[in-house]
Amino acid sequence: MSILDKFDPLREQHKVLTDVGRSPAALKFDDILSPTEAILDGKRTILMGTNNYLGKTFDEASVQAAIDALREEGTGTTGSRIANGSYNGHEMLEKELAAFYGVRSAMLFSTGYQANLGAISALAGRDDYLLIDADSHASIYDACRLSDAQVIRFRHNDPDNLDRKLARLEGTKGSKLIVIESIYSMLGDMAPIGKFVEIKKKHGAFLLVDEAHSLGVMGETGRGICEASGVEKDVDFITGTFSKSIGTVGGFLVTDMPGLDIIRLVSRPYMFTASPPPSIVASARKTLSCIPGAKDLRKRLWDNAAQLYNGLKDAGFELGPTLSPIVAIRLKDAEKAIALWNGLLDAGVYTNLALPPATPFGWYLLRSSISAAHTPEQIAKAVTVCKSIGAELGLIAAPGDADPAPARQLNGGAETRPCATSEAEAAAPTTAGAPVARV
Amino acid sequence: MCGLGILGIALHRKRECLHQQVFFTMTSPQQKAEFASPTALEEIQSQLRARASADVNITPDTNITRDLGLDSLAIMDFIFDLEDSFDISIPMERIAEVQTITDLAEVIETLRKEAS
Ligand SMILES: Cc1ncc(COP(=O)(O)O)c(C=O)c1O
Repeated sequence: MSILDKFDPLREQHKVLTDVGRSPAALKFDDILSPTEAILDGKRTILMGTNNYLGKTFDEASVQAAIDALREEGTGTTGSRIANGSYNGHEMLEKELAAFYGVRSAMLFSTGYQANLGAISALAGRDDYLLIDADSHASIYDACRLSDAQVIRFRHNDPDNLDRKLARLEGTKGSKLIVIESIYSMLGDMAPIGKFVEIKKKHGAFLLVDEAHSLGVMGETGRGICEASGVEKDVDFITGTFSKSIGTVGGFLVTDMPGLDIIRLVSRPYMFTASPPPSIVASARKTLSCIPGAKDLRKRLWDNAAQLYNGLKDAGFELGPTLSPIVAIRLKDAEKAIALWNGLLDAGVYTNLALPPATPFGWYLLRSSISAAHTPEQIAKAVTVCKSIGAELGLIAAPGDADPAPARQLNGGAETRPCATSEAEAAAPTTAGAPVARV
Repeated sequence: MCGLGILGIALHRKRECLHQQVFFTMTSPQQKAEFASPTALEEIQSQLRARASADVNITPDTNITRDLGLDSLAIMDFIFDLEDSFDISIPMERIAEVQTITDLAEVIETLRKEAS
């Protein structure tokens, strides 16, 4: 018996995917041509699923800054800052992050995943409470495992559910840390942050917002959803990543609270991993410095998002509830989702296929993330291809048809529950869409 | 309530009653008060009956993740509803220990006791 035998059921599940086409987890690009184009299977392909919101991966100044740092300081730091000391770039980037957010302190992590892991697990300790959104990113869930705090989940984007949960903790000692995201990575829906701030204040809790998908994307100067909603002074902690709009890799925690530095001595994902290499730090600094002034890029990004979102919506696809640079087609049928994703690749359009249980409500999602660097022609092509394959699969009406072909229900398919946008809706009996028993 | 309903349901209701009896006799008199109606066991089973497909047998020994044909998201939704029914919050680490409906009922009863 092999130690890998326990994965046989997963292997079988994965085989269902690979039997009909490619594996979403094992695509290989032969060449990257630009922020929006690559060669895949020998074919020029439009990249519509890279989180490269501002198209900064080939920014000339950022590339040059990385090259200079590489020459001057070498390929890596070969250790953590606690054990091996900091480089000038680490401290400068932290100062620049704090200045960007207008707060006292910033702390750098090697990835955004580690920023959440390191920030949340250190901030909430024994006797404290972590209150997390049920749709949280894996890094937040993993942070909860690493933390000694008690973890309570609340319904996705539901401040009333959080309110009840905090009320039940009334009188307990220990700090309460609420963790939410900004734009949610799967559906592109946004946290009702103003309401969360009210609840947090009502109960004297702390609030941490992961701005992973909103840094550079939202707010007048690109600081994210907190800036866009005018609630920055009431948000205690922000985490974020350089792996999306900043176009490189790395993560951070910022706060206006005095005394953040002590976290450097307790946060294991900060202490026990190598610090970001000089070239990465240099390109992150260069790109970050452009964010406040990148108003034209942000406008183009949102115009592009609107072109894709409205194009697909008008075609009859079911999408996420709000327009954002993350545009996800919601599908209930696994086979058709896989066929649509493969069909798009065959036609030279790359998107992400997201599968349950990583998706809300057990949907199959064809997720795309739009970039300011996309041209209107690229987006138009993506919409056209989606429409023609979608019509072929009976997902939307073919031009001239009144109704789409009836969707076929698959064994082991997803639940057929409508998008629950409120507590009342979410709590409603689901008998109409009674979950299909899995075989 | 035992013996109500169609045969199948009457059957597991019966087992449920039996189970509760064992449960009660094992608890001390002052603990007994916490198990006042509706018991967590009853509430869980009635909520699950509305969610699982009709042909699924629901007994106190039913394994929640394995036997009900519900995926992890449906189970999470069900837990959220239970929390509001009982006005408690079930911490994630407590949920992790749960396998059967009885396990879940015990967690809920303990949390209700802690809350009062
Ligand atoms: C919401 C959210 N937080 C954190 C991360 C982790 O970021 P990174 O890629 O820098 O590890 C991601 C990206 O996957 C994310 O979507």
